[in-house]
Amino acid sequence: MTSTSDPHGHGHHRFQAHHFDTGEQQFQAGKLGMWLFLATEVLFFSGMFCAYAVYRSNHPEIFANSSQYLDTWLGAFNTLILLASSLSVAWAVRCAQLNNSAGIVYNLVFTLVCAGVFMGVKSVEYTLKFYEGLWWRSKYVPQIPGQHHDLTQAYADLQNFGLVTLAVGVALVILGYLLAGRNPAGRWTFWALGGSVLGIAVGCLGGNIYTQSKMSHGHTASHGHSDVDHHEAGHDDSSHHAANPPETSTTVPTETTPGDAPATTGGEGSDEADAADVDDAVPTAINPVPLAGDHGADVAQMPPPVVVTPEGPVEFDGLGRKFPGIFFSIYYAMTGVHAVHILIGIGVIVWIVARAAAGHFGSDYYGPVEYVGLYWHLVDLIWIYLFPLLYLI
Amino acid sequence: MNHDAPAHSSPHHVTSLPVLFGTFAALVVLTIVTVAQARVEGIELGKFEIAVTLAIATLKAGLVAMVFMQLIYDKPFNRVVILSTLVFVALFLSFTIMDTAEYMPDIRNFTLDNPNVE
Repeated sequence: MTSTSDPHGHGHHRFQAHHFDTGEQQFQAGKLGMWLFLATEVLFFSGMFCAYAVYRSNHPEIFANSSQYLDTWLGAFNTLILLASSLSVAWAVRCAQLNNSAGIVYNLVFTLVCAGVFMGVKSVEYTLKFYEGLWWRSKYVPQIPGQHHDLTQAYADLQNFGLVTLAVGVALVILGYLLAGRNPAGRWTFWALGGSVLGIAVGCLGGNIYTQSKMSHGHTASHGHSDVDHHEAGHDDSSHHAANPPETSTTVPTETTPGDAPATTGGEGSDEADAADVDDAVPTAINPVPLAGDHGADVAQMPPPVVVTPEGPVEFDGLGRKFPGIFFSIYYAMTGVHAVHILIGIGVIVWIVARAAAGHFGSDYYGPVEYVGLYWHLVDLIWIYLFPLLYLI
Repeated sequence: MNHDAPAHSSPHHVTSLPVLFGTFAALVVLTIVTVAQARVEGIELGKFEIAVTLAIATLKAGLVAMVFMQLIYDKPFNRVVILSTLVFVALFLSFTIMDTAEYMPDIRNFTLDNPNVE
């Protein structure tokens, strides 16, 4: 089947299925099917948006507090990257309508590079959060105010991952030359895959360099500012402990004086031995050790009380130890499912690139380009809502 | 479909490049606006912040759907499919958070106890 007319001599396009009267009917049927699929996708994601709305409306302080651990600039950069990828997909559809096969291929390979960069930046965000203990609800490690995590290992891991993906991407591009010979579809399949993997490498290495420089640069400026916020909040908590015990039963703190030595537990210290026997052990409040290089003056003036439970210290004792983790459960569920959609999108766009390189698409037949484009725009649409909901407000 | 027709007489709407790039530029500007609104000191919208941020997101989503996804040139039935979905999403969300007012006293107490926790 290499000619444009079908072998039965019906005179219709070779990709027109027999049960359709015309190519136009086939195109519109497929498009309606794609819109119905996108409708189910919207409903599917709405379940997670609903979870977000419920937890946010009942615990607004958790969301305001937790979103400070997300990097707005990485999220904004990824938003721009996805918008650019959507532009090139729309441009690819235009090229198909104008019989420009090369234009489809170039635009969609650009889309794939953007998709790779998005995933690379996401890998930086996830990896750093895992090293900081910002897991989902069941693995969440409560954050100590003013604590700076040692992320040297995370940066090294990310650099290794980025260099490996860089090597794999280059290898895929070279393999395209060596294995596929003069077959354009095979060659562009390798180059499209190589482009996405190279995009991952660029996103990962670039995001890694950015977060490292931000850490070393903003250690005293921006981070110091948030430390002060923590201490003020913590200080205020302590003045309210006696009058207003927190609602959550698991985190009833005991009052301690600011002068207590860090290692010394509060008045309930003798209960520590019993703590192992009781499920909900009575937590005790201590003053954390001021970390080296931290702002000694601030710490001395306003010691933050930190509730220590058998599971570890808890930030903002009034919040209860479980709550910040719920934000990250929702964060990982929503961004994770979105990232899976990006990966599936990479797969189908590689398929479209291969077919476009083989010359399958033109103004009389470009349904698959259009359908995959609609899917990619929907993935972009979901992110347009995810970015402000998780990173900004 | 007429096979003899020249390429540019496609029965479907072909979006011009200025429109595509103009839409992209508008999306980038709206992204910058929403980030600036959230992060620049001195722009405090208070209780309207969430509404403004979601309005900007919806404007962006509308641009992508109408221009990039060509919904504005599409068959009315396809528009009905996706817009009716949004009606059901609205029903889903509004029914689920209907009892939010029940928890407001707890939230208010917490805010009074912890005035510095934003």
